[in-house]
Amino acid sequence: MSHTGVWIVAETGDNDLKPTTLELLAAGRSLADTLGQPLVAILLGHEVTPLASKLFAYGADKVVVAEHAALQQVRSEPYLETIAAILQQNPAEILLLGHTALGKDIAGRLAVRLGGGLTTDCTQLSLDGGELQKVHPVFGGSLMTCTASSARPQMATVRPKAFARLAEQPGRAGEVVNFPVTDAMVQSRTAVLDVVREAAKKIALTDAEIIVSGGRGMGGPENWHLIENLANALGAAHGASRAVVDAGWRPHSEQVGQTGKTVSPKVYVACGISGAIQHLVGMRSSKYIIAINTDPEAPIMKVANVAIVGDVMQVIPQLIEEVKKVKAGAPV
Amino acid sequence: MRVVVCVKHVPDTNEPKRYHPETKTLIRDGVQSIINPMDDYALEQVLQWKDAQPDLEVVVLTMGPEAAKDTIKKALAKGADRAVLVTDPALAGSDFQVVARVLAAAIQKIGDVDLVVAGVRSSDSDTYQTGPAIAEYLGWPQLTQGKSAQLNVGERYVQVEREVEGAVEIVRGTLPVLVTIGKIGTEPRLPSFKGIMAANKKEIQTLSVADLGLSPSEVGAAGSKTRLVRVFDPEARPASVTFTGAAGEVTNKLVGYLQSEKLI
Repeated sequence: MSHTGVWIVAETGDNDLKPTTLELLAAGRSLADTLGQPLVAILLGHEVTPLASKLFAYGADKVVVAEHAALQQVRSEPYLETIAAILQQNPAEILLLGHTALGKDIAGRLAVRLGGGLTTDCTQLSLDGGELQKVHPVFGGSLMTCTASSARPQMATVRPKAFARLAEQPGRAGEVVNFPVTDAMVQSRTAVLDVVREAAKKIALTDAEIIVSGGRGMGGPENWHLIENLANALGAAHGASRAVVDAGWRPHSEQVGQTGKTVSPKVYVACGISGAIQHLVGMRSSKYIIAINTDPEAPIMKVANVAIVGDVMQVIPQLIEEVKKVKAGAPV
Repeated sequence: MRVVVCVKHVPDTNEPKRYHPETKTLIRDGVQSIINPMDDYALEQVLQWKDAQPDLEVVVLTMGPEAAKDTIKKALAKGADRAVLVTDPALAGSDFQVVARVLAAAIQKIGDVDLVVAGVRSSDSDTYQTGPAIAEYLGWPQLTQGKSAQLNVGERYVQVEREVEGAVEIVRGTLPVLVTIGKIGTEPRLPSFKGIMAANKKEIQTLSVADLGLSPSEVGAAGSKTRLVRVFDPEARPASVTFTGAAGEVTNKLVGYLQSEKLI
């Protein structure tokens, strides 16, 4: 059986498709068009078939639905085994997953299982005579690598926010195929005992267009309302440097950097952060970096597009006011 | 109970990066290397288990050049019992699938392994996939992206807190299982003087590709499924500006900049 089709693994949450899934469809759509092959989405879950219409609206030609009560929660082995079974029956030319917790968990195992070549955390995808060119930033984004594979499926995990979703075409038609899920596929040797949801944050760091981040220059945890208020004013997520996480001012889930999260927003505002290389590797591929620091020689000031030499305690409150005025349409 | 901790010997992030002018591959000679930060956390988690259960046998496993013995010795000095280094010129250029295959073969050769723990990702290749791929080659289940892990020796399970988008999952797996760990709540211990002296007497077994029953064509660049097509510099960033002055003045300039770049 020959390998055919551009396949993506859809992810859902709260009865909707995750934003990264719509981005995968955008990435896959142009590849499918170039190859003249269909864009197929794999949709796992319980009572998720209604989401197929949204997959079509954002670019899928076909949706393979795998329904089973045991797939309602995202689980490592059941998801791996079901997706592998689908792709063993339907060999794919190209397979895309999000570089998400699920992608990081199963993409590598799928590559080994299916015999494909995988590149992770891709920010650009294109085709050169049928061979997928996979661009992935290294060393914090200071260098870009392009890799390819002669093995099939050609696999990539895609960095969140690297692709923009296509315009929605409501009512766009597609084909739904039901894949019969056996009990054997959804066996699991591990068990989820509990899921503790984070307090509803407005925006997750890896999804954010704008991030406001604070470091030791903020002076103390009692000053963090400045970071939060600036983030709110800008419609941004907020992050933290390792120093303040280690000091116990902020939780590890907010940490940006080598031992925290890698982010690539459009705008990264670094407040009172010196810019140690372990921090830079986590945010360097941000399009615009704005740094506020009292030290004009701090490493972050060298990589920033806008380096503001000033005291965060004075600059941030002022900035919040001016941003609010702009958003309200008033003259600044 | 035998735990294998997979550690990688990586270039120190603090070192300036120098690239070979033609191939644009990283020049590793003469560059200080360290233990992959996430593997250091994995090792620390396992050593905390050993603090509570001194009978736990901790075996450090590395695939790398001879120089990787530096990293191995540090791990032994921290308290690991013995080490295995897979080293062979044929391994150069291996992608994560090959690395995983090699490490899985080494784990099978070590034998009677109850648990494998590795860092969630490496600071150089950053794929997150080597741990899971090892589990795939072993046919084991996995608990990945943990921020803490507890081992229950009597009941033979590991319980992991793992971070996913918007939530923390508490998951449990009976042994044998593979666990990948990121930053945990405590910093990795430093080796004591006594530990450093003891490390010199601990065994480092070296294995070649042939010792694992693999052939050169199955490993290295030859055995890899991905190849490097090219490297290039990222898109040039918008030009830099510096604003100094009173708070009111700099924020005015900043807002003007944000507006002109259509960012707000």
